Amino acid sequence: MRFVSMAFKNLRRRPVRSILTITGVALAVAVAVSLAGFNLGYRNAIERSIDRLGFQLMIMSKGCPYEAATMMLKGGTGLLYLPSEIYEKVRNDPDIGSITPVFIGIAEKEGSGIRDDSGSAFAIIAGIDVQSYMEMKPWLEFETGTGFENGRWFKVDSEDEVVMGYEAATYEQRKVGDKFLATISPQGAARSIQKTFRIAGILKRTGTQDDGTVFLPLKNAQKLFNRPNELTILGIKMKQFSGAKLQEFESRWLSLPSVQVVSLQQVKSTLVMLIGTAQTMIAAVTIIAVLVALIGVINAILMSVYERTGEIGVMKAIGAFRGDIFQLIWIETLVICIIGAVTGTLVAISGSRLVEAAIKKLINLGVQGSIVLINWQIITGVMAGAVIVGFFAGLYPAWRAASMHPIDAIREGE
Amino acid sequence: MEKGKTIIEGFGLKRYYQRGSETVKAVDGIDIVIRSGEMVSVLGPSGSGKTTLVHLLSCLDAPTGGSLLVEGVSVEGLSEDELAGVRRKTMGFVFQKFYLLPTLTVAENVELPLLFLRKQPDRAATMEVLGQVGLEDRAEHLPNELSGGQMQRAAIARGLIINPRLLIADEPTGNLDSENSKSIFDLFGHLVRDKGISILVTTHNLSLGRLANRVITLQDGKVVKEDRF
Amino acid sequence: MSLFRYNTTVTGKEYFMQKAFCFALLLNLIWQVSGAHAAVGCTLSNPSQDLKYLFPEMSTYREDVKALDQMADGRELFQKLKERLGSDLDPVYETYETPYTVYTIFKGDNVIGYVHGVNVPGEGGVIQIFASVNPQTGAMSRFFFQRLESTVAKLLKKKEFLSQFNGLTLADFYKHDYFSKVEPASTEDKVAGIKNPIPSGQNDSDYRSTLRGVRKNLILLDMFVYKQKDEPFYKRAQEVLAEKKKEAVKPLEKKQ
Repeated sequence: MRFVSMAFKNLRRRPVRSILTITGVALAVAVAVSLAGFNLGYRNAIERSIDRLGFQLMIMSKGCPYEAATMMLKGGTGLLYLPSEIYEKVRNDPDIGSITPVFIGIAEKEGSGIRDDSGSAFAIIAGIDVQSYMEMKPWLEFETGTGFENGRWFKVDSEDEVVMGYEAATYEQRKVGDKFLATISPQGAARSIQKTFRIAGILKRTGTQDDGTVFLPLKNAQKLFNRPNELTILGIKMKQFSGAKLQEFESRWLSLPSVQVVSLQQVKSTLVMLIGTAQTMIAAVTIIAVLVALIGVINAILMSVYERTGEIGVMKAIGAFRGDIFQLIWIETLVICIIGAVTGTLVAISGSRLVEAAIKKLINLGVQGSIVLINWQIITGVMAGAVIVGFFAGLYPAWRAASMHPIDAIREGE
Repeated sequence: MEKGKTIIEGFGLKRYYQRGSETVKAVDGIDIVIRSGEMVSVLGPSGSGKTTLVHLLSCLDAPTGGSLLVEGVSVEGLSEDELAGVRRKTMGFVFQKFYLLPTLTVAENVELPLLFLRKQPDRAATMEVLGQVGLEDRAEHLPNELSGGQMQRAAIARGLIINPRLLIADEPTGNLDSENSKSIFDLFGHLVRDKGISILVTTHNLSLGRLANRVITLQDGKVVKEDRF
Repeated sequence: MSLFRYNTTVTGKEYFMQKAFCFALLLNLIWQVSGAHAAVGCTLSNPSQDLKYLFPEMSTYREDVKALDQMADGRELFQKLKERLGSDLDPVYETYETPYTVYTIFKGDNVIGYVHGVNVPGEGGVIQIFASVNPQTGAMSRFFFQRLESTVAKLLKKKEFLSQFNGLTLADFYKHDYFSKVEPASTEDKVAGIKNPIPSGQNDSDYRSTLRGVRKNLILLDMFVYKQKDEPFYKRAQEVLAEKKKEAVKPLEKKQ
C-alpha cells in the first residue's frame, strides 16, 4: 500500500464531498477545454473561409472595406470603385500568377415582412469573368439533381442569364431555368429598374460567400449599374506568396492614388483582432471557473484535514515525518484534480457538438463547418494546467496538516 | 534485547504549561527508568500528569526541564522529524481511541508504520503479529466491522509490527468494558513474558494497573509511590 | 443568410446603401454564409412583432413546428395534400421533409386565432403566403404576403385584392372544384368570385400561384389544426364530379 492508494482510500471516506469537489474541477476543466476548443475552432474557421476566397491579395479602391470593421460603426464614405484601367495596368505585373476582375453591386429585393413599412432586402450581384474566376476557385461546381439539371455558366455576352449561389437559390426557391427578379439602381439614373433574369445554373454549396451571391457576366453587371469602366476588386494570386514579395508588390502599386492592396493575411489578422475582445472574455470566464474550482478543492481538503486531526497526530506518533503527512495530503489534492481534469476533458469532448450547436444558435458567427476544435494540445495543456492548479491548491492544506504538533493533534482528535 | 537493559531514562523531567497568567506544572521533576522485558503502569487520577509523562517519555513532547535518554542517547534539541525518527525505530503506540484508519483493512492498518519506514510490507509478518493478538481471521475486515476490543488489539498489532523495544499504551482500556480491558492487559502480560517486549501503560484503573511488574503512582505531576510486583 | 434577411426601415437611402455595401462587402469577402436547411420552411420574420400587429389584443402566442416526415401518418397526409391541392408539388421546395409552423394566438387562456404561412414558387421568386384564420371555423380573417418577388407585386398587394379572401374557407375551394366544372357561373362559387387584379393579356402566373398558395395553406391547417373537418366537402365534390363524369359517358355509350 503506497501513498497514492492511501490517498484514494481517504477520498472514499467522504464520497459525496469528494464527488462534488471533483465535479467542480471537472466543470472548470470542461469550460476551459470547450472555450479553448471554440477559440481554436473559430480561428480555423476564419482561416478556412479566407483561404476559400481563392485570392491571396485584393486590389480595391481606397477607404473601403479594409477598415470596414470601424466603417460599419462610423459610416461609409460612399460606394467606391476602381477604374478598369488599373486592371489593365496591374495584370502585367511580373509577380502575378493569376488575376480576376470582379464588379460588385447591390440589387434591391423584396423585404421580408408583413407590414407595409417593412424595408427592402438586398442581394449581392457579382459581375465576373468566368474563366479567370474559375482559375481562382477551381472547386466551384454546379449542383445536380432534381431541379438543378443542366446547370452551366452564362455566356460571356449574355444580358439576361445569371448563376446563383446555393443559398441564394434556396432562399428564392429557384431552380435552373427559373426567372430571377432584381431591382437595380444604375449610377446617375432617376429611377430603379426591375430586371428579369433567367437562371442558367446553381452552384453547389461551398461554405463561402459565393453561396449567397448572384453572378452575372462582368460586362453586363457594369452595364446594368451604369459603371462600364469600373471594377470593385481585383483578386490576385501571386506566383510566389511571401511577406517580402507582398511588400514589393504593394510598393509598386500603392503609388496609385486611388487604390489599396489588401492582403487576406492582413484581413485575417484584423478579424482575429476583432475577436480578441471575445478571447479576453473567454479567458476571464475560464480563469474565474478555475479559481472557483481551486477554492472548492482547498476547502474540501482543509475540511478533510481538520476531520482527521487525531489520525494525523497518531500517524506522526507512529513515525510519520512532516514530509510524509505533507505528501499524503498533497497527493489527495492531486488525485482530485487529475480525476476532475480527465472527467472534465471527456465531458468537453463528448459535449463539443452540443456546445457548437448552442453557440451557433445563440450567435450568428457567419462561418460554416466546425467551430469547436479540441486537439491534443488543448487536452494536454488543460490537463497540465489542472495538475499545476492541484499542485498549488494542495500546498496550504498539506502544510497545515504537516505542521500539526502530534500531541495537539491527538488531543484535538479526542 | 536482553532483559533488564535500559530503554528510556528520564532525570528530573519537568513539563510546565502557561495557561493565561498561571503556570501549570503537569510534570514536576520525575525520575524514571524503563527497562526491557518489563511492564510498567503509570497510575493516578485525572490531571496527575500520567499522559504528559508518557508523552515526554515517548518523545511526542519536549520537556521544559530535565533530561531524557532513549537507548542511552539524549533527545534534547532534536527536531520534530528527528524525534519521529527515534520513535519509529524504538516505540510502538496504542491510544485510548484506537485511531485505526477507517478506509484501511486491519492488515493495512497494521502495516501503516512500515509505510513511513519505507519498508515493503511482509504479509507473513503481518499475519504473525495479528496472530499474536488473536486477529488472524480479521485481517481483511474494516475497522467498523470489529468490536471495541478487537479494534484495540488491531491497534496493538500496529504498534508491534516494527518490533519495538517499547510499546506505549495511553489509557488503552479507556473505551472498553471490563472484560475486554482484562483481556487487553492479559495480552500485554503475554507480550512481556513470551516476546520480551517492554510495555509502558497509563491507566486510572487500579486493579488493572497492578497487573504490571512496576506500578508508578503520580499525583500533581510527581511520583508519590512506586511498587514492584 | 444574413445578407438576404437584412431588413430595416429605409431612412436615408444612399447613406444606408453605403453602409450596406461596406458591411456586405466585408461579409461577402470574409464571412461565410451560414448553411440553409435542406428543407426550407416558412416562418414569420419577427413573430412577436408581427403577431402583435395582426392581433393587437394578443397576450401570448405559441409556435408549433409541424413536419409530415415526423408524423406517423405523414406519408398519407403528403399524398392527401397533393390530391387536394390538385397540382404537383415542387420536387425541390415542396417536399415531404418541408417543415411548417403554426402560430396559435392567445388572449389569456383563449385561442383567438391561428396564423400559418407557406412557400409557393412564383414567377420571379418565392411567394410567402400567410393567413390568419378563425379558430373555430377555419375561415380566413386576413391574408397577406410576407414575400412577393413579382413584376405584378403592387397589384397583388392591393387591399382590394387581399380583402376578397376574408371569410374564405377550405370548403369553398373544394366547392369551387365542383362549380368550376359543372356550374361555372354559379354565384355560390366564392373562389371564382375573386377578381384577378392583373389585366388580361399580362402574365398572371403569380396570381394563380397565389390562389394555389392560399389553398395549400388552408389544406395544411385543416390537417394540422382542424382534424380534417373539411374533408367531407372534398369527398362530396369528388363524388359529384365522378357522378357527372359517368353521366357524360352514358349518352356516348348509348349512341354507340
